[in-house]
Amino acid sequence: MVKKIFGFLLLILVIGMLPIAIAAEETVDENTTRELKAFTTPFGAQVRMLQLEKSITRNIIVGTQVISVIEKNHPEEDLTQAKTKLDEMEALLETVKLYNINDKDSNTLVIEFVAMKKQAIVITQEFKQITREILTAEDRQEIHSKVKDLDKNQLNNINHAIKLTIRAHNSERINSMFKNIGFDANKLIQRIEEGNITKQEVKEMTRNVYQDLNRERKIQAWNAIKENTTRRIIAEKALIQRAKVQGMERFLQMDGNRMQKLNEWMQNKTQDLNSERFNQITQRIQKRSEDLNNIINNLNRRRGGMQ
Amino acid sequence: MKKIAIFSLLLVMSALLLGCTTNTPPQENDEEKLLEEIDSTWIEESELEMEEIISTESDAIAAETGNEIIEENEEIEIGEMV
Repeated sequence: MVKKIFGFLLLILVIGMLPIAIAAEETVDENTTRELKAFTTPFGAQVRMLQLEKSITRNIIVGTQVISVIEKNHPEEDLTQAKTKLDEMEALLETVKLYNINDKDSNTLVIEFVAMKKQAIVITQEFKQITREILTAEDRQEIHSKVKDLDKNQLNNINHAIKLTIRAHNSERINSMFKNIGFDANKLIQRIEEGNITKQEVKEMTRNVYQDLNRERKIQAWNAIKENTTRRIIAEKALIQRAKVQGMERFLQMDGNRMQKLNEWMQNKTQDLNSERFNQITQRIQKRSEDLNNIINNLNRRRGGMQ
Repeated sequence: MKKIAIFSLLLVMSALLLGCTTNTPPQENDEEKLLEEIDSTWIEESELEMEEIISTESDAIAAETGNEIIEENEEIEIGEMV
């Protein structure tokens, strides 16, 4: 009887310790923490999702070149595993591209972002691990020379979309800040939207504008900005805390579903098995470029409306 | 034996309590603590001379402006494929 009680207690103890073990595994690094702060605004969230899309797209293009070089220089190698990882990365890219930020709150967005980013990191590490033993120094050189102009070519459209979204985010935030100071910032906003001003210059301009205010307006501006800063920091801390606690749990859940998603992805891919892999990816990236052009046009229209 | 069983039960309850608190989402108290933390780091005007005040405040506001800005060259690092 006593043994049974001990066995039962031990089981409860193990279950009770599980959240502690999971908590110990939670790792939201310094870069991710900085990235999460942008999720307090819709434009900020859009920037982060586009940046993640760009990083994943780049890795798919590089990965495709890795496979192409290995197939050419080491035809005896079995690349099934590496190709599977690339398929997983493409499935993840589809998830990121189709992710609609508009119908979700900031808490959900940060949890999903942390999980998707973590998954991209894990798949990248797995791909690298598989191909590391095969690639020679010459192969690496060949791959680097093929992908060195990625940002100017295949990633050009997404770079442009990211840039415009960042400008829209920055102009909105600075506009709000200058409203608190009680200063008409139209010219400054225009320069931000045109990309004609650096962060340092914006800071310098803010400093000068504040110093030129009279005593009464200084107090008003100071109190308003202090209140906004406090609100912003609280919102950011809450988001980071939420991401730390639930982001990794969501990742584990997503990882569990990875194989199922991969099967679905493979079924869709059977339609174009006769084409070459590189052409398929190029077509998909071309299609995405068209979508990104629409985003850019929308942002430009919005900019025109503000002026 | 009973004593050992009671001791084990207490141990399990402590572990469960620790597990629950580790995963507790942010509470309202946390916000109050943070507000206190911000207040404690915020420099009050009475602590400084007038010239210093203007300089410190404008620096703080300029820094806050910088915090709101996302730089165009930022990238999300997920590692390299090669």
